[in-house]
Amino acid sequence: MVEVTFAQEVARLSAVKKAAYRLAALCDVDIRSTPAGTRCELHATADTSGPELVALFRATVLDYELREDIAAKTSAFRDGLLAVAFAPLTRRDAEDGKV
Amino acid sequence: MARFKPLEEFFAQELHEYEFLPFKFHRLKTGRVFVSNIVGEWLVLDTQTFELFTSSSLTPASAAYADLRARHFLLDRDSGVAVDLLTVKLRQRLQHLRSVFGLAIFVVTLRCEHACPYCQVSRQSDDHAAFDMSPAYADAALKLLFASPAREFKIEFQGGEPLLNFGLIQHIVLEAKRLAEVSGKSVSFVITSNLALLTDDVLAFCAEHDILLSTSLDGPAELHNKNRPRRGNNSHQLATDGIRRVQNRLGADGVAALMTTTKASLDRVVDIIDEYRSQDLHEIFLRPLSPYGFAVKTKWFKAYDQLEWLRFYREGLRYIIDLNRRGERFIELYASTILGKMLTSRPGNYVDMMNPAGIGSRVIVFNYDGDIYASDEARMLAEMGDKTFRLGNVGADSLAEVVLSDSLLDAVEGTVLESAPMCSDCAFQHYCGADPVYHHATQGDPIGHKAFSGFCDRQMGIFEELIELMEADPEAARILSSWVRQ
Amino acid sequence: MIHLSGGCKLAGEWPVSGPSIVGEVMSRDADQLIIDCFFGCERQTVTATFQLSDDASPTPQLALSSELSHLGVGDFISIYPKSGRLRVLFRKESQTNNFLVTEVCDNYCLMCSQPPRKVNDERLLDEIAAIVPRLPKDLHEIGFTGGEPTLRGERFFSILRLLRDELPATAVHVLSNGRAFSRPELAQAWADIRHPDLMVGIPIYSDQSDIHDYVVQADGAFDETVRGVLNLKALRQAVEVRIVLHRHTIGRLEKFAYFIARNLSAVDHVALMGLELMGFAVAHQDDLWIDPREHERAITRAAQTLAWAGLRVSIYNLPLCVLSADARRYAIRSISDWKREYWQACSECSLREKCGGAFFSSRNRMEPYIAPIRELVESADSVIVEEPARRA
Repeated sequence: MVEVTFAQEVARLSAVKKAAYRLAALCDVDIRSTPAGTRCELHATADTSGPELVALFRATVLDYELREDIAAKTSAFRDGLLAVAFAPLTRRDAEDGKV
Repeated sequence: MARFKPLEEFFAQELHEYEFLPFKFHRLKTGRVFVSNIVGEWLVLDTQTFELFTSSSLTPASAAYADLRARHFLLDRDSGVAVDLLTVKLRQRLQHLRSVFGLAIFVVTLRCEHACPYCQVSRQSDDHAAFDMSPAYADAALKLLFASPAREFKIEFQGGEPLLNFGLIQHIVLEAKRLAEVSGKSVSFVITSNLALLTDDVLAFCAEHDILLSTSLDGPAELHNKNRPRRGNNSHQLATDGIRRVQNRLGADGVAALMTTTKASLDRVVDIIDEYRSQDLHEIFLRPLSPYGFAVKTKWFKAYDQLEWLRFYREGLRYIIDLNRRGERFIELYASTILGKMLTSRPGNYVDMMNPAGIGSRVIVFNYDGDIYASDEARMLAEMGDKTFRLGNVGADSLAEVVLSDSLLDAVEGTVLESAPMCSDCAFQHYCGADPVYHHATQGDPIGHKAFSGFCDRQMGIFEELIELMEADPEAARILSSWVRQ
Repeated sequence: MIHLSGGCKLAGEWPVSGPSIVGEVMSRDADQLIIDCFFGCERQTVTATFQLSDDASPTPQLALSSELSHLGVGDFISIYPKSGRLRVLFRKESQTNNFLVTEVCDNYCLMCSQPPRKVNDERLLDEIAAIVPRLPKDLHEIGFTGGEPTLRGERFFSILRLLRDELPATAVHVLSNGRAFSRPELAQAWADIRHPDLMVGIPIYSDQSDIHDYVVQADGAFDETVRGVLNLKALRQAVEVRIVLHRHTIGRLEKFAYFIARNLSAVDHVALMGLELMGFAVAHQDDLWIDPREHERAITRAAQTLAWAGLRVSIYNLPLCVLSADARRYAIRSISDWKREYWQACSECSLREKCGGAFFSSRNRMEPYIAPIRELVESADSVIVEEPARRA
C-alpha cells in the first residue's frame, strides 16, 4: 500500500476520483478528505510497483485536474454550441425536417 | 494606385490573448499529446507546445499556433467565424441521428449445414417449421419497415445459412421492391452465406435484382476449415469457388468477405491477408474476438486476449500498408471506418461504433420466430439465453412502439459517451462508439467500467496505432487517408 | 481578365441618346461589317470599315482599328464616341463570354487581374441589359465578373432575373468575393432569383484569417467571405471556392484544403488556379510567382485531400507537364481560347491535345518548366479532361 495526498490547490476532489476510476484496473484507491487535502491509499492489484504506481497516479490526477480546468474555461462555448446545434437554423429548416 | 499593406498589419493586436475552444487531450505512448475538439478535429503536439498552449502562453511564433487556430482549438481576435463554423460542423455531425433502420436484418432460417464452434445461432436440423421464418412473419416485418420513417435501407439476409430458405429470400426481395416502388423509398439487398449452396438459379436471381453477397473467409484452407467444420471438410473450397463464381457473374464488387477471428487466427494474420489477395479480394475487416460464446472466466483472460489481438491487428495493418506502398490497393476496413471519423465530417455508418449507440435505431433484426432484436449481437445474446435486447415482435402495431421501449432507450441514453465515466473526458470520444450489448454481455452493465473493458482497450490500441503511423510515416499517412474515399 | 477593346472613329451625324452605343454585327465581308446599332442611339444600320473615308456626308460612319478585324456575325460591341473606345461585349464564337459588371471593388487583391477603379459605371449594366434579349437562346454559359458584381446590388440581380427569363437554358457563373452575402438579406435576395443554373465562384486564400485579409488587402474580409459562403450554402445555392496559387497561398495549401474539407464540405466545387500575370499581378510578379514544379507535392496533396473527402476539385491554368501524374486527373482545359498559349516543346508532347496550356501572360515565366510528356497512349487516355462548365 502506498499513500499520496493532494492539497486542494493542486487538485480538486473530482480530478482525484476520476484518476482513481481510470486506474481501477491497476489499483484500488481509498480516498479520504483531510485538512491537508485529499488523501489516497493505493492498493496495487496488478504488477505495478509502488513508486511506479504513485508516479502514474500523480500524473493521472494532474491531467484530470487540467481537464477540469479546461472544461470550466470552455463550458460557456460548449453549452452555447450544443444549444445552437440542436436548435433548427430557421423555420424553413425545421419544416424541411433538416437540422 | 493605393498603397499595399504588409502582412503584419493584418495580425490583430495582443495575439497572445486567446480563448480556449472546447477540447480534450490524451498523452500518447510516444510522449506527445493528442488533442481533439468538439467536432473531432485533432492535432498532435509535443509536450512543450502543449504546456504553453494550456497555460495560455502560446504565441504565433510557434508553428502550432496557426494550426490550433484553423482547427478551432483557440479563438483570438483576428477572426470570429470559428463559432459559426463549429456550429455548422456540429450540426453535420448530428445529422446521422435522423436516419433510421438503415440496415434491416432478416434471419430467414436458423438451419445450417456447417457446425462452426464459435457460432451461437445455428441449428443442425431439417425442421423447417421450427427454424425457418414464415412468409407471414416476413410480410409483417416488411410492413413495419416500410411504414417507418426510413427512406432507404439495406436488407441483409442472415441465418443459419440463408440459402437454405432461398424461396423466402425471393419472396422478400420481390415484395420489398414492390413496396419500395409504391412508397418511393429505396432498398438494396445483401445475402450473407457460406456459398456452399450457391446454385446458378441463386446467382441468376442475384444478378437480376442487384443483390450482393457476403461470405466468410477466415483464412487459408486449413485455418478456415478448422474454424468452420462441415461434412467433407471442404468449406474453404466451396467458399472460394463461390467467390469466384459470384465475381464472374456479378462483377468484382459482387461479393464481400468477412473473417471471424479465433485464437487460431492470431498468429496467421499475414497468411489470412494473402488468402484474401489470392481470391482477388481487395479489402479485409480484421475483426475483433467476439465475446459472445466465449466463456470468459477472469479479467486476466480478457486482457490477455485483447493484447494478443492488438498484436495481430498491428501486424496485419502494417503488412497491408506495405502492400499499398508497393502499389497494390488493399484496404483494412476497421481502420478506414475510424479514419473516416478522424479525417472527414462524415458520421460513418458502422453500427457498432456509434454514439449514441446504433442498436435498435440504425439497425433492426427480424428473427426467424418473429421476434425483433436491437442488433445481430443482441440476437446472439438471446440464443445464449439472455433476452435483454429483445425489443418485441412483428405482431406489433409499429416499429416506433417496438424501439421506443424503456429497456432499449435506457441502454441507448445511458451509454451516450458524453456522460459515460472515462468516455466523457476521452480525446477519442468522437471516433469511438457505445456498445451496450458488448458491455452488458461481458460486465452485466451496458455502460461498463471502461478501465476493465476489452472494447475500450481494443479501441484505444487502434487509435494509438493509427496516430503513431500517421505521425511517424508520411507515406503511411497518405495511404491511410486515401482509404476514406467514398 | 481581358476585355477586348480597341479604337474606333466615328464620322457623320450620330443620333446618340446616351454615353455609349451598343451594336450587333449582322454581316461581314473582307473589309466591312454591317452593324445594327440598337441602344444608345436612334436605331440604325451602320457600315463599319477599317479606314474612314473622306466622304463628308452626314451618314453615320464607323472606322475600326485593325485589331478588331476578328469581329464576326453575332458579336456585340459598345462604342464610346467621346473617347473613341470600343468594347467587345460578346463574341459568338467564343466558348467563354464574361460580362464586366463594374470595376468597383471592396477588396484590393495583390494579384488582381482587373484592378479596381472608383468609377460610376452603371452604364455597363445598361449595356448588358440591352443585349441579353438578343443573345442566342442556345448559349451554353455566360459569366459575370468585376470588380465586385454584388456592389451593384439589385440592379445586377435584375440582370440575372432577365437571364433567367430570356435564356433559361444558359448556365450562369458569377465571380464574387462573397462578402456581401454575409448579410442574410442579400443571400436571400440571391436565392430568390431562382435561376435554374447559377453558381457563384468565391475566392478564399487561406485557413488563416490574417493571410487571407492580407492577400485581398481588406481587414475582416475572411470572416465576411466565410459567412457569405455559409449563408449561401444554407440556402442551397451553388458555390465554388477558388484559390489562386502564388507565394502567399502555397505555403499552407494542403492545410487549407483540409480546412475546406472539414468546414466548407458543402461547397459544390473547389478550383485551384494558376496565376494570371495581369493587372496588379504584373507589378507584384517577383513576389508572387512560384515554380509550379517545386510545389507539385503541395498541389497534388491539396487536390487529393479535397477529392478523397468527397469534394469536386479542379486544377486550372497549369499545363499538364508541371503537375504530378496523380494531379493531372484534376486538370481542366480552362483558359479562354484567345489567352491560351503553348510552347515549341509541346509539339512533342503526347498529352498536348488534352492540355490547356497556360496563360499567354505567363508564357515567359512558365517556359523553363515546360517539358513534353512522353508517355504511352494508354496513360494519356487516363487523363480525364472534360470541357468544363465554368472557366476562368
